[in-house]
Amino acid sequence: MKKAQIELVGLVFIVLILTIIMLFYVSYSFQDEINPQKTELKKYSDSELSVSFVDVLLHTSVCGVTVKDLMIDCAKYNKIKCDSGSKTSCQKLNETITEIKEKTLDKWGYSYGFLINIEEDKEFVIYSNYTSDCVPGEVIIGKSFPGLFYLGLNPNNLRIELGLCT
Amino acid sequence: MKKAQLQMGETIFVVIIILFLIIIGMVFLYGHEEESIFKSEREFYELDSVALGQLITNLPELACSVAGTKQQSCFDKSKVESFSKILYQNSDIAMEYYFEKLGNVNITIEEVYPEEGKRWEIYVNNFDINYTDTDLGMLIQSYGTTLKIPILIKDPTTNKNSFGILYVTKYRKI
Repeated sequence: MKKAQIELVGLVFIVLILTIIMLFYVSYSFQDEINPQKTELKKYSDSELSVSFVDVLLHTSVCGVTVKDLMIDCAKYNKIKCDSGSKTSCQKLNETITEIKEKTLDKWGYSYGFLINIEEDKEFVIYSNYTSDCVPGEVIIGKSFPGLFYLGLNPNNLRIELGLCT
Repeated sequence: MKKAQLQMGETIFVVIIILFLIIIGMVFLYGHEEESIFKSEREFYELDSVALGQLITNLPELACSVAGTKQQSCFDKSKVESFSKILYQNSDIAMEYYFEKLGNVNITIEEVYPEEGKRWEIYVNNFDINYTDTDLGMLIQSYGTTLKIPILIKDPTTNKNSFGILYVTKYRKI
């Protein structure tokens, strides 16, 4: 091999090393922008929000009882009447959850899936509402922070799930 | 030009290129280190905010209690009203006492359901936004992140629970 050829190989080698270093640096710098990592505050705030939201909602007073009582009545007894007897427990429950949700999650621009159903009978849905990018039932898997509660209704369980998708 | 001079020039050129590469590498490394220091600082600051959020939701001065047992995520409406009044009336002493616990933070409770718009400013101690420090001769800016926590606001006289939100905004100088 002539001296000029050896120098050419050396030059190519240097250019290759520089290209690899540049590629490594660029991919590393843009890694956070392409796949942004959740901050500690965001992680805590999302998980705390979904759990606290459902917990607080269950204990909120509506028409002389709590939301939890309304859910149980809607799923099993259908005895409670609200607003001077004009609304059933299911109607009042729907109205209350929608109102609270509009004033909080919707106002803050969260994507969520909210589902209340009988665990053993998936078709018995008491409440279902979700943003287009966050389907209830699927929100538990991986990408969301679920607030999941069960209320025992002999012989079934009432399942309340709020998942915040991000 | 003699061959030896040419070779000398070549060697000098190679040394300059290598030095240039080392300097570029050091600049990148410094930039990366600076970024990771800022990242760690933000992480510590956020963990501090999380701890603060937990501290506030567990303050016995504000929490509901039944037979001496504290209820989780529940604020007593009468305690909240009294606390905000006391802090407003005796701001010097109370602020000094709570500053050690809470620092530069704004705490607000807002009722969402059934009545909307009722707000209680529990504690307000933020930096003056964008002021010039005369000693340092520079503009100081403050930055705050807000934590929103759903809470129950219990009225002990009627025994009714309202759905509320606790807003905790922690400030820091930037």
